[in-house]
Amino acid sequence: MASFFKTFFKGILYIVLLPFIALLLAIYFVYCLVVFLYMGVRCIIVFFAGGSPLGDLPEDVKAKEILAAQAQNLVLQQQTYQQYPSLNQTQQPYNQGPYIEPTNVAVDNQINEFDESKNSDSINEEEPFND
Amino acid sequence: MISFLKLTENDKRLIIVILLLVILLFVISGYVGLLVKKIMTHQANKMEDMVHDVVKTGVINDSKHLRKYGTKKNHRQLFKEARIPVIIMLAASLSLLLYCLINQNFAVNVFDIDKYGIGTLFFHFDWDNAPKAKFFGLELISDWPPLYSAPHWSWDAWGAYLFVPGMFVGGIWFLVNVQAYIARSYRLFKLSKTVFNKSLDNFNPDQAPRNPINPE
Repeated sequence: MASFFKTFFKGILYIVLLPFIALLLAIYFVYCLVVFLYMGVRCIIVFFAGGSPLGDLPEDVKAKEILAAQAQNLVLQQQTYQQYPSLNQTQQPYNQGPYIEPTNVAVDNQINEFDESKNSDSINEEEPFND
Repeated sequence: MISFLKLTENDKRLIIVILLLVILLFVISGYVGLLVKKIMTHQANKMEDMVHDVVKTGVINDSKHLRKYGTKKNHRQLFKEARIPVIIMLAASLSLLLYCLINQNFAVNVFDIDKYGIGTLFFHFDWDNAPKAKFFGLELISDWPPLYSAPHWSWDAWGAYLFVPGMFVGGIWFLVNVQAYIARSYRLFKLSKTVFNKSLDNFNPDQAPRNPINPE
């Protein structure tokens, strides 16, 4: 029901604005005819001057060059990876073991070991004083 | 005031019928407006296709340049799309000119229903003398009115036969192209306002670098 009323009120709005819409359309109709004539004359002149009437604009040419270069780079990268697949892998240092992600358990164990060693050190340290 | 509000049964029925017709008109125009809006949105997408590459590759970096480039592309697109309807309209006008030159008659009525116009191809009824009957107190047309003119082919109206359909088809086609031009222009204007817009809406000062980097 809400959408019906929405459409209904929009209909009222369109009816009220109809003369202005028609006027705008008429103005643009004439303007577009003028643009068409201008483009037609321009195309004829460019054609007889030896150019391409509806060819690419300078911005289009630049954009195409950039896109072509990007595409070429992508192809070169793919070819390089196909020839040397080892480049695709990350090299690991030879003197390091595999990386183990620290977990809470491992950290707790390390802390316990540290505490134990600290306690034993303290006993050993106390002995000389006792002597 | 009270006597003014006293309505007869006929008046009430008439008011109800008119109200229903008005509501129907508003609803239909609402749906037509929605349809036109959807078509224009679809037509406006062409502008995004046209300016996508130059914006994406960074060839165009400011809104003024984008508007200038977009307008040029829009003119070219209009010229490409409107060639056929304009050729149709030109051909129709030339045929009428040729007809006038051959018959030496430059005051021809292209809508004439007797001999020289497109009206010869349609039915024409005498609506003033249509049979009427009372329906719920309203006087409505109850039957087909008498036939004034039946469709018939007239060789003398060949100029109008070529001119009127040609101008009608070409005109409507060109109007659709004009509508597409307006839709693309509006989309271009909106793109030029939003694509290069510097907004601080999503700016988080905590994530910004603390110490500004001094140029070397």
